[in-house]
Formats: sequence, C-alpha cells, structure tokens
Amino acid sequence: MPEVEIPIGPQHPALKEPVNFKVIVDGERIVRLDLDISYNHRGIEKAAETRDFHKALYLVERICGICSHAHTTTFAKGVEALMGIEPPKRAQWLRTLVAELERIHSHLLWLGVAAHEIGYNTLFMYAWRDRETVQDILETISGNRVNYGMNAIGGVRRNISDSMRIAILGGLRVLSERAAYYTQVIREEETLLVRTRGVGRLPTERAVALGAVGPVARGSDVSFDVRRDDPYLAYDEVPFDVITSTANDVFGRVEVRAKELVQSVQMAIHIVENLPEGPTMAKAPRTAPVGEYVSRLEAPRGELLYYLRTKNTDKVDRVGIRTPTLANWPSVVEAIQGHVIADIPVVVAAIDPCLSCTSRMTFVDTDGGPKGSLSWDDLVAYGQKYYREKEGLP
Amino acid sequence: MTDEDVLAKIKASVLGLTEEPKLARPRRITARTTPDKVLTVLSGLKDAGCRHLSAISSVDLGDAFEVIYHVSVGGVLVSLRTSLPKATPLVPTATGVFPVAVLYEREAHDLMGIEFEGHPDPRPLLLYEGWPEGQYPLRKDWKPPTGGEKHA
Amino acid sequence: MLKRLATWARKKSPWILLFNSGACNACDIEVLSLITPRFDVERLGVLAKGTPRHADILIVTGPVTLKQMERLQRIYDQMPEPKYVVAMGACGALGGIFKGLYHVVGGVDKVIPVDVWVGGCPPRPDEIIDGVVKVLQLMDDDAKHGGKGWRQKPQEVAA
Repeated sequence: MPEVEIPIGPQHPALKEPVNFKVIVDGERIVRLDLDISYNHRGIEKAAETRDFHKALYLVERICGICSHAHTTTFAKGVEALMGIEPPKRAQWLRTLVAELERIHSHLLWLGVAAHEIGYNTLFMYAWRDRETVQDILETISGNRVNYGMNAIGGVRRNISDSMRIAILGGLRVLSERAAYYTQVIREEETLLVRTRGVGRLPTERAVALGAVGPVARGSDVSFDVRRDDPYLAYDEVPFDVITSTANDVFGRVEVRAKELVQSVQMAIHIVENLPEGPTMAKAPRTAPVGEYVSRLEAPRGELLYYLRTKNTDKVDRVGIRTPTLANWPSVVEAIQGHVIADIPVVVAAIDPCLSCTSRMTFVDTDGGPKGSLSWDDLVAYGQKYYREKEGLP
Repeated sequence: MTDEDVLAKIKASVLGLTEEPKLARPRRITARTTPDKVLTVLSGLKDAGCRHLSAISSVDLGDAFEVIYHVSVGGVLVSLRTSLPKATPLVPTATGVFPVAVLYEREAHDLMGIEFEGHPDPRPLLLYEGWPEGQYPLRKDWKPPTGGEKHA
Repeated sequence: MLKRLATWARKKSPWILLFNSGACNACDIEVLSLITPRFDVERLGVLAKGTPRHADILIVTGPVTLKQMERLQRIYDQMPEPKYVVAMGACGALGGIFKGLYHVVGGVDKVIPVDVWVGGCPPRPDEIIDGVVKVLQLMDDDAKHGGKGWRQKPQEVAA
C-alpha cells in the first residue's frame, strides 16, 4: 500500500484543543486514522487524590471548558451517593436547568464550528451570535459565562430569583425561534447536505459494537440516552424524548443535535416554569465512607462516566474518568474508511470532538512520493474546493 | 430490562464468575472473576445483553491491582472486577469481545502499567514521547522525578 | 472598550496567532467569541492568522503540557521580530488549577518570554480585548524606545 507522509502544520485561528492525527492513505482513499491525544493530558485523576472533594470539584470542572457542568455534576452526584446524601429538589432542578443550558450552548458551538469546517461561515456567525444569549442566561444564573461553578457537594451554590426567571424565559423564547430556524437550515441548505449525506456511514450494528455514545450513537439509530436509561437529577420528572435518526451518517448526527437543541430549549423553559420551592443545599459530611460507585451522565457529547472510590477520608481514593469523545473515536476511525481526504474535517467534526482537530494531521501514504505539508485550514479549504468541483457549485 | 432482570439473566447464563453477582445499588451490579476467565465472562455478559462497554477502570489497591470492566445494557451497569498481582499485572485483551477496549486498555497501561496480553496496538495514549519508561503515575507509590514543583 | 481597540487597530492591524498549550478550551472559546458578531474584532483590523511567520501577537492558552512545551518554543522561534506574547488566564500565568500536575510545565513564561498576562479562569472577552489593547500600547511604546530593553524588570520594580 503506498504511504506518503505529509505533516500538517499546527496553527489554526479557530481554536479547540490540539490533537495529532496520522492518516494512512492509499492515493486519495483513507485506510487508517491514528490518534495522539497526549497534547492536553494534564494528570487530573492523580491530582484529585490529593485534594478534598470541594477542591477536586473545581479541578474536574476544568477538564473541559465546554462541558464543565457535566463534569462537576457527575462528580458531585457520585460523591453524594457515596456519602448517602441527597440534594434538595430545587437543587436537582437547578442542576438540570444548567445541564440543559450547557447542552444548548455546546450544540450551538458545535454547529458553528462544523459549519465553519465546510466553509459555511454565515452559519458559524449566526450560531455563535445566538450562543451569546445562552452565555448571558448562564451568567445571570451563575455569575460566569464559562465554568459556572454551580455545583457544591450537597447541592447548588446559586439560586434564581423571580426577576431572573423572567429574564431567563425571555432569552429562552428567543432561542426557541433560533433553534427552529437551525433545524430548517440543516434540512434545506445545499452546501450542508452535499457534505453530510452519505458521508461517514456507520450502521447501527457497528455503532453498538464500537461503543459509540451520544449523538454519534443516536445518529445511527441507537436509542441510548443516560437521562432516560439511568435517570438522575430531575430527568425522571421533566418530559423529553430520546432523539434518534435513521440516517446512520454524518447527517444523522447533525440532525440529532439540531433536534436536541430544540428540545433542550423546551426542557429549560419547562424547568424554569415549574421550579420547585425549597432549599438549595443539603448538609454534606466532611468525609465519605468506604465505598465505590459509578456515576454516569449524558453530557452534550454522550455518556460521561466517573468511577469513584472513597475510603473514609475527605478525598477520593481513585477517580477514573471516561469522556464521551474517547468512546466515539473508534467510530470515527470506522466511519472514515474508504473516504477521501476531503471528508476528514466533516467526519471528525461530526463527533463533536472535545479534543481539537487544530493540531497536526500527518498523512502517511507509502509510495515514497513527495512530502508536503497541510495545515488544518488547507485541509478544510481543500475539502470545500473538492466538493464544489464535484457538485458543480460555484 | 430492569436491574433485577439483568441480575437474574447473569446468574442463569454467565459462566466463569467466582462470586455471586450482586445488586450493589439501583442499576449497579457487581461481579468478580479471575484474569484467566475474564474473556469468558465478558462474552457471557455480552450475550446476556450487555453489549456496551462503557469504560475500563484500573485501581491500585496497595497489595494488588484491580481492573474493572463496566458493561451496560441501557441504564443497568455491570462492573466486572478482577484482581491482578502487583508484580505481574497481566490480563488478556478484551478487544476481541469489545473493540472499543482498544483505547481504554492503552490508557490503563500508560498510566497504571497494566499489561493487556494480545493488545493489537500497545502504544502510549496520554503520556508524551519524552515520558520515561516504566513510570506509571497513577500507581500509589509513584513519585514525580526529583526537581521541579511539589506534586499537587 | 471596543473604541479604544479600534483606535489602536487602525494604527497597527495586529495579526494574532492562537496557541493552545493543553488548555481546557474555556479560554479558547472566549477568544473565538471575539471574532463572532457580538464583539466582532475583525472589523477593527484584528486578524487571526494561521502561521507564526505572519503573526505579531501570540496568544497562548493552557498551562503548557509537557507535550506542547517544545512546539510552543518552536512556534515562538518562527515568529519574526517584533513579536509579543499574551499569556491567557490563570493557566497561562502559573499553570492555574493544574499547577504541579505531573504532565504540566506550569506557566507560559517558563518556556517563552511573556509581555502581557490576562487574568481570569477564563478571562471574559472584554478582559481579553483589554489585554490586546495593552499589547498594542506596548508595541507602540517599544517602537518609540527602539525595542524592549527600556522596560523595567520585575526585580527592579520590587526594589
């Protein structure tokens, strides 16, 4: 098999985390995709063992700035289970509200970035402009746009007043219209459909076998959502559906997220309108008894899992964290088989990776041909050009 | 299936368990086996409906290691654990039964030094290329190399 | 605040390179927010550039993981003078909440010289813009003094 190595230059103005791919190609067709995620390994699991639960909460919040609440919630509810305490109802509902707001902001963020990858910059700008409405709501509730620090062991640190409720509902109603608009766009926009339909195919059986989670799994018609299957917080009381698509491809993943966006706005409205009265914190003991628990949660990208062990101290003995993007990686590798290089940005973006494609992409094509260099920007531009020519678009 | 259903199914059909599986908490079943029977049990769990491998956790218990496979069917999670001796933490790779294990096992090897026999691609996953070999940071007795900041 | 940026940007039109040295992404998405409609710094002449060879200002997020240390050095070396570095957030300053972790160097100025630190976890977009304005001010002052040598060193200030 001919293998040519093309190192890709790292810098890209549109952020996200650095990661290194190695793509083995046979001419134009991709044979294999390797992953190097050591770029942002920091050593968090180890550090958590030497910090008490409260400090550890601040640490895990910063595993990812996009789904920070998902991390603190999974950790907090796990420790609470080990302690044998239950946050009051209002706290559970507030946690759920922020969780759904986070899903909204995350899906809008992804929508913008994915649009950018296929050259659809207007959509990127719209999505991120609308995302500001969510950031404002989160700031109203928590005091911060990002890394909201809502959770404490035993409940939430912030409450919402009646005047805040009115402001939040106003913002949510705007978002409701915008979300509906986006579901329309993804179904009708030629640029999007061309790049997503039939691309990155993943049959249902394979999604299950490969351990896919979240919108990647649901976009391949796998009906798995931790909120319904392993209920936590207020999800057993707030109405919602598990959204799946039978498209089994990138479009399926796009469709699931767009519909989830609409639904999460509805759920947030429902929560604010029906918020139970009462306290927002339960008294937590300083230590957790000897025990073990697996805490799961449906983060915007899929199933997030925390394995926790405690030993009668104020710290975890062990915390093992499995993030959804790791679970989805084998699915990307499979979905990209046989595709052309031009499809890489889209198939990778379709799993909404919480590690960035910004960094290196090394193409390995073995016939000892000319070595070149491709930046992520170049790759994205190449992908756009490839499809414009293919479809005879201007 | 409810967690009671899953537990009953496991008790009836899964071979190789070394203890009675138990419902530890709602939707949380624990089970135990020995390293040589891990693949038998994992296949059995998969056939019993647990087709999703959620995660593989590695733990340093001080006098032994423990590797825990978390498999699930919907909301019910089964944590299958096996104990490995400190000197030779060796267990067969689960990638033949659950392909997604390929990354989880690389992580457990990288950070805890568990050896997964037969792993198709045993490269480091998280530690950078300059990381010294044989240094497994998640082990309880691991100390950061001398010099530099106090380990937080 | 945007007006001040406009004044400066008209003079300088800075080209910015963003480097993620192992960050959680919070800083990165707040920087990215700057080019989206609400803040829209591109209309003020502030441009995000893909390569170090054309950049005036390097914005670094993250505590610098061991993996990224060498690359950060290399990117800095590739930038032509006069070049400026902004270290973002608590991580950029001293490693933030990740200080002391086994895969983390802990602070951008342990690897390359830093001109401006922007505090926060993450800093808000308006605080980031403030940081960019400070850099532009610095670029102007340095040009007037013929280089960076005139700046007071921290130990001199302490004395």
